[in-house]
Amino acid sequence: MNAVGARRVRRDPGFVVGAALVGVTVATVVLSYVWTPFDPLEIDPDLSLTGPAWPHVLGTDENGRDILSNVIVGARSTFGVAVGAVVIGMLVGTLIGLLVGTASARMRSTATFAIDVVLALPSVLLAIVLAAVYEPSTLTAIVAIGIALAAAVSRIVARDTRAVLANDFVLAARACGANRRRIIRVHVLPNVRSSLFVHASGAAAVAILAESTLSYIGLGTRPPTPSWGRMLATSQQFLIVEPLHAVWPGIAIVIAVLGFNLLGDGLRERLDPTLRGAA
Amino acid sequence: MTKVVTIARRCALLVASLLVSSLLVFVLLRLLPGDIARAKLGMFATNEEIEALRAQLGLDRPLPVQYLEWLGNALRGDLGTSMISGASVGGELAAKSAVTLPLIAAASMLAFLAAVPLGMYAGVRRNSWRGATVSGIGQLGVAVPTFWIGVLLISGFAVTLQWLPSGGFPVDSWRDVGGAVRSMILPTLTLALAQGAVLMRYARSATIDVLNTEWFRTARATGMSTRTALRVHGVRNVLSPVVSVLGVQLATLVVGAIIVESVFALPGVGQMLLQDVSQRDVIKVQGTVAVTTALVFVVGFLVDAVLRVIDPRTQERQ
Repeated sequence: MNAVGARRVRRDPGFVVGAALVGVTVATVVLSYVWTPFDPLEIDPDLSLTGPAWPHVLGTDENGRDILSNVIVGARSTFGVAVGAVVIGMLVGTLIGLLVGTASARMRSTATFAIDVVLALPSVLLAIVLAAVYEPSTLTAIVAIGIALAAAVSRIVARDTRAVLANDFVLAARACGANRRRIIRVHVLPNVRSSLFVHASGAAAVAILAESTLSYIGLGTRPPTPSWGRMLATSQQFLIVEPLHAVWPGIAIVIAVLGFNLLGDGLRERLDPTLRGAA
Repeated sequence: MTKVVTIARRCALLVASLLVSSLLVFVLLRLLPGDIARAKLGMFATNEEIEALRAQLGLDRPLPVQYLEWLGNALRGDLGTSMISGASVGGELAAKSAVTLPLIAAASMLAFLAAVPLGMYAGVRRNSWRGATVSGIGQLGVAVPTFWIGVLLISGFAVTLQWLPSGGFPVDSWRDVGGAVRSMILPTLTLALAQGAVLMRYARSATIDVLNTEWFRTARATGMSTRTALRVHGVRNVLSPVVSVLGVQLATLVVGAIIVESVFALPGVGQMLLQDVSQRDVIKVQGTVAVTTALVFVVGFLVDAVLRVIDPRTQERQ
């Protein structure tokens, strides 16, 4: 890292903390495939609802399953849904955003209006509607969150695209006979690309919150696959016996969401020099 | 004259939004593969039984006809009847609103009243450790899922301290005022904390924007302290973006209420909706979601209108 980069890092601890927290989450997902202290699904009736003690460091749930192993493996479904939803949201959203941004004024206002209506349906409500028709599943959750993200992303991309199109170099390109596709590829995409990473990071935080919420209300990942949201739902029934069990999966969610939020904020400040020092 | 045109345009947009959103909900629930009749009768039903039910529910007619009929009935206040219980959807919705609407109203009020002063404080003191602490807590609050706040509050105030009930609602509903209020405290607090964290971040950045304006500098130059200048000139300018965010956040507030009702087993619209989903009561889900989104649009429209009256700048921009 060069001197300027190092100075920026010191001035922006949020970015570093965010990157570290995201790193912890990703490392947990990787770790879950390599090693867990116990088999997360192994049931032991003798060890129902124990508190933190060796060898079950965070205790065991009502079926005697190791909590720590479940928290580690739970990262998979949360992260998997988040990645799936963000990929759908970013791809579809960017495509629609580019089309809307470069469309004629009349088309644009109609499309923007349609996007706004979809935006008024939050992802969790959309997932509830989809779950009424299909079985609640991981796929329903991914699609619902993905659609909601796509609406938000397309709105931002359309706006950014308009801003790029207003530049003189686009006018010059048009004068040279460049068509819409070429202008999008050569001029618009490279200019909106960097801000897409900011949105992807923010979208990941939204998706993780939505996934854990859906799992909590029973419309996300199906049992017995471990998931943080459902672990919290179960822990609520046993608050009198083991209140600490309601803490660990929650902390895991906060680490992941906070990480992506801080990372997104940090990226935004880096990419947008006008914001530097403002926050 | 232009004002009348603007108002007419806004109203037309509202009506269009309501139509499109109701159509969207209809399409999502009806057009997708998956037959309502088959879902209701189960996989062992004969084709004749399914056809009979389809005819009874009017599902054998073209979809546009079905939509227009549903819309016409809905406009006359008839949202159809539940496929499971046979009860009127509108009636049940109204009954369950007695829990949900007070919850949303109290929580947004509380969130607003707490978030604005805290956000302004964090904005003014943004370069000191106190301001940084407040905005750090806000940042953390945005990352905490609503339902976890609820579970933690139950653990603390209901299970450990035993001050308040861990969930449920009095059988006598609001006739048992004391019991109803006690059951609403933790849910309201949960929803308010989740919303307040978001609002506070907006209040903070709106305050920083105000502090950086030239007119604020002028006010300070006339000898006003930051505090006085903010009170006299700043508050209105901070409030207007926060109120508009509250309008935009309305949809998430509704979802928050659904979640909170599920956490605290409150018999409101959200809990009803989740139960209807698990029973595949498509007609009822459709009515509930359509009314909820319609309300979100209408309230958003009203918030926007109020802002236009309060804040002269939004009129100039037109």
